[in-house]
Amino acid sequence: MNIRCGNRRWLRAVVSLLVLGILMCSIISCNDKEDGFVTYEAEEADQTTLTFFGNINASSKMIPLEELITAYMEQHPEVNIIYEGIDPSLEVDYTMLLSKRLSTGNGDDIFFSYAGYLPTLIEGNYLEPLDALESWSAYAEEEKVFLLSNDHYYGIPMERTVIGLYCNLEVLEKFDLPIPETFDQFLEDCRILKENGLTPVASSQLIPFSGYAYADGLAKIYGSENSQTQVALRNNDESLGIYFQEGFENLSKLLDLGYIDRNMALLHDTTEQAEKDFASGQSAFLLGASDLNASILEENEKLDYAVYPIPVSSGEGVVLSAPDHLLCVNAKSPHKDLALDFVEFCTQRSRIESYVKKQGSLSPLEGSKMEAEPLAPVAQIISGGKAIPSVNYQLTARLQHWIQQSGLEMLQGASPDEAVQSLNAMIEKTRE
Amino acid sequence: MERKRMKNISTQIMIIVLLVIAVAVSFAIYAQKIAKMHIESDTKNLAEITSRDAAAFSIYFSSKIDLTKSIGQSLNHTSIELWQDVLQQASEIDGNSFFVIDADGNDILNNENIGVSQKNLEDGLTTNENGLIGPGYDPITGKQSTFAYSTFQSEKGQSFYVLTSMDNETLYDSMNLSVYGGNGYSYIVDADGFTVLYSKQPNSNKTFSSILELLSERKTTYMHNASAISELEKALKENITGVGYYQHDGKDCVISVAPIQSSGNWSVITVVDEKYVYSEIQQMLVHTLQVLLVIIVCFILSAMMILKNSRRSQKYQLLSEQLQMAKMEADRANRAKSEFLSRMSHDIRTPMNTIINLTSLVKEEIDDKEAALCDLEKVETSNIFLLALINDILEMSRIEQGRIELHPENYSYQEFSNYLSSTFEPLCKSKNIRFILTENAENIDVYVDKVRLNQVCFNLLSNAVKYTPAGGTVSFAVEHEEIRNGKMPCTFLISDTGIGMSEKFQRHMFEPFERESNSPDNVQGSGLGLSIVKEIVTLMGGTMTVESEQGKGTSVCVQLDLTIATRKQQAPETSRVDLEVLQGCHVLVAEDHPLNQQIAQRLLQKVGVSVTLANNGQEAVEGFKQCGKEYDAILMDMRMPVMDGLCAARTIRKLPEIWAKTIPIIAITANAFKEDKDEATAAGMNAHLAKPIDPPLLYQTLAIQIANAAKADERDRKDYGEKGAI
Repeated sequence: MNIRCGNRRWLRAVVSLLVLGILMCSIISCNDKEDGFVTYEAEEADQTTLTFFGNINASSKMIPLEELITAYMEQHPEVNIIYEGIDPSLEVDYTMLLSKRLSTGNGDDIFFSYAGYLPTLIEGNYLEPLDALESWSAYAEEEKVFLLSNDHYYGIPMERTVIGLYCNLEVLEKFDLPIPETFDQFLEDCRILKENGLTPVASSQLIPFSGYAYADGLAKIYGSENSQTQVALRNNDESLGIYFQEGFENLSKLLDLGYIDRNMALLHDTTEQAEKDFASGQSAFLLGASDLNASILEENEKLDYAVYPIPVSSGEGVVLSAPDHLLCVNAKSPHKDLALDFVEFCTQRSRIESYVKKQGSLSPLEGSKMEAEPLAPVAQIISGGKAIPSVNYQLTARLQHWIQQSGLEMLQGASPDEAVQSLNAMIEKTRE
Repeated sequence: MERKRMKNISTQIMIIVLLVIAVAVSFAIYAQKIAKMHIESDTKNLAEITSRDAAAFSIYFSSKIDLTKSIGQSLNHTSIELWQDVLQQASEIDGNSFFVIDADGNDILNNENIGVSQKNLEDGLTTNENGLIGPGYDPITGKQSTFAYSTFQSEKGQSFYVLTSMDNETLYDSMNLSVYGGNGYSYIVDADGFTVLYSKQPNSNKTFSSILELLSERKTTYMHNASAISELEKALKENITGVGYYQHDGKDCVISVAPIQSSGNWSVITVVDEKYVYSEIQQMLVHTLQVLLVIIVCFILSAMMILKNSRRSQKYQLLSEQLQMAKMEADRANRAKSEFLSRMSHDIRTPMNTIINLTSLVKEEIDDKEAALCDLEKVETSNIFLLALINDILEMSRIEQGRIELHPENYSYQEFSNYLSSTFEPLCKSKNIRFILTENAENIDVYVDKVRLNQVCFNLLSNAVKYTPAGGTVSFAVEHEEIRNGKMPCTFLISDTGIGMSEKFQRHMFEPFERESNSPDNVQGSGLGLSIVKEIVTLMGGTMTVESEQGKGTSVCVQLDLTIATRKQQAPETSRVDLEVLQGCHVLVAEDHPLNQQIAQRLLQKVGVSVTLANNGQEAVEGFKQCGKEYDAILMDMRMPVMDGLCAARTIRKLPEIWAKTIPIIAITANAFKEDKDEATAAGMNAHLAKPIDPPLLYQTLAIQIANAAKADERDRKDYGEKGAI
């Protein structure tokens, strides 16, 4: 056997194989040659953009909303939703901006509204009726009725706000004070606390401050059975201001006796300082909405506190319930159908439940459980349907706002009578 | 050889593996370098895109600032009543909205607040006379806006700011702040990372007001080092253009930042998910990997083929080497054969020369009886030498073929001693050499191959006698040690005072056909004696040492461990029979060669034996059938035509006649090996004589066999007689 001949043959085979391999590599890695001049067309997104304006901007509250938006866009890749949330640090009124946008034709397709501001928007014909939404079936009838305006629904709530009296149980236990069930008992607790150097009631300019008067007046308005009739009666009959007289007087007592620090309340237009005072134990009471839960826990996660009914002049304590963060659709939106579809998506039971759970807020739906432990004292009242709606479009649209204005005047020194007069004037002006 | 081959294969495999690793590593390094180049290029592109966006914003903002500045100059030192008209006109011309605000952001003319945070107001309005502030809200439309401002003084010397409102949405749309096909987005942030202009891109996160809240540092990868958030903070504050690698909202992203020059402290931030930036690189890496795999596969296949070829080559080489060796061996054997034939030719020719020439001379000198006798004696000597030579050659051949077998039997020392003395005393005497036989051994029977032991001693003593001149001494001594485990170590010492062996010869003395170059001319030898002795001693498990000095003599020492015989065996019948027995006998001689027939006839007739000849086995059988009773013995040659001796013997033995079974058949054959003898015995022969025939041995053997046969007949007759005749 000629070994050298064999070696040469194999070497040829090896070289051939390597060359073949390199050629294959070239083919694999070779791309088609491009033309000499390559043109690109501007990419036009095959998407419909919906704008969504809201008053939620804080990180903790924003994330659940962004998750909803993202979930919808994943299911509808042809839709791009741009959310714009107003920065709370800016000294602008959300409702004012909303109105300006809508009135100048720059309204967003979807937006949030306060329950109290909805009537204004309805009057401006800015809102698309939401009657056809199937999501309404999950809402309690007795609460839905308060949202009807001219037999239509114009805003569907994402949350429920419950206004009650936040009680710092640690402070009360320290001074061996009972939970106040009447206003007199409330005053007594405040007195002891005041004597011990505390500011009994944490306050700010916002509505919780005037909630004492508001709760008291609404308790009277809704005092009897068949409250709807009475409400209608009162709306058409005498001035509503009379119902809030005693409430304003109670508020005056709190101010005059120093149980509410007037100057501190005037200084702060947000609840932030009030939350701090309450969480730190400087104050034992805070009138506030249920969305304060998350904020208080951020201040002091181990705080032992609970929300109780608001003590009023007569009768049992009152829990105010209000729909919050109502989703509305711009009547002049060029993408109304998509906007309605999005609103329907967000307000399905499972999504609402998930949304409020992540927010630490309350569900507006019928049969929803309030899992937040501090709300346990008011939960039964709410689930029993005994909470008083703080918003009733059958009543007066901006009553809550006016009460706040009146209360603010009292902070600035007005008397209860003057506050009532101011309230009546605002009501009259509206009727005109 | 096999181990070497495996080692070679292992080495080759290791080399292949190392080469594959080297190729893979080289490719990996190459791919990494290319990837890094791509990354650098991509990040550079991203930085350029961001810079261009920033430049575009800068130009746009500059124009707005200039516009605002000119309006401010128009309003300077004018009364507030004029401002509305001026702004109205400017709005009609430019299309934007214009406002006048105080230091708190309050719209003086519309009694609104533009919604710019106090911090932004302070940062902006107090820093420069002209610039940008935002984000805020257009007091008219309520839309999120960015404002160009310019300071001016009222009629009363108060400072106010005229603002040009730029709708953020329009701003964003016109700038097209989308990159990588919409997978990346840009927006504007201030020096603290707070958003000034949001992105409309779906994946952009509008929850957090500061980008720094969304960033977290990531680990360094093989592609690039991780970036520190502090570096981005520094870039924002110090208006630096750069690119960093972060985790943005939980995703690995590339973030580029470029300052907007006209803004003071705003920057454009571009955020792109890393996977979109590096998608091309990943494709490239995938292609590279494909190429690498193909090359590696080709490499491995090539290596396998080379390996296979190498193994085949090795196998062929091995075969070639084996063939070479076989050829060399064959050549050597051929040369040895040629050499042997050459030497044999010489060694045989020498005595043949003597035989032929002297025979011719005898024929010429036939009348000179004395001279003839003398010549015939020399012929006889040459005959003996020739026979010895042939025997040695045959013996050596058998040794080399491994056909020598030992056949131990009981052998008494006395018999051994008698054999030596009877053989060598007369020989030494005839050469005037003194023969000394020293016996220090007891008369013990040993169990040994008698023939081989005799052969060893005979050859050594023969050499001693051959190479010792007259007057010298040849001695033979036997000593033994204590018997252990049935073995008796014996030492046989053969010494002479002969010519000795040179050192040169001693190095080759055991090689066949080697003879001392200075051997006396009258000493004949085949040169096989020592070789044969050495082989036989080795076969018997012994050792042999030689000491010799040229001119002084030689001593050969053979050491054997002899087995002590466990029982006495009767030695074969060696008593001599009177040759008178042969007188009047009739012998059938089966021999095909006419000359051998004559020799046999003459030899037998010399002792009174009558001979009947048969030319082959067949004739012998027929002859026996006819006259078998008349024969006293048969001399049967082995190799005959028609029917050989073995067949003839077997045939005769099968004949029904009684005498066919008892008649002595003696094999006469050139084959003297044991197996030939056994074969002859198996065929029914009684004795075996080797050619050339030794007449005395022939007579003795014949006489013994005939005498034994006669005795057997006598016994049979007596037995038969007692039992009754047929």
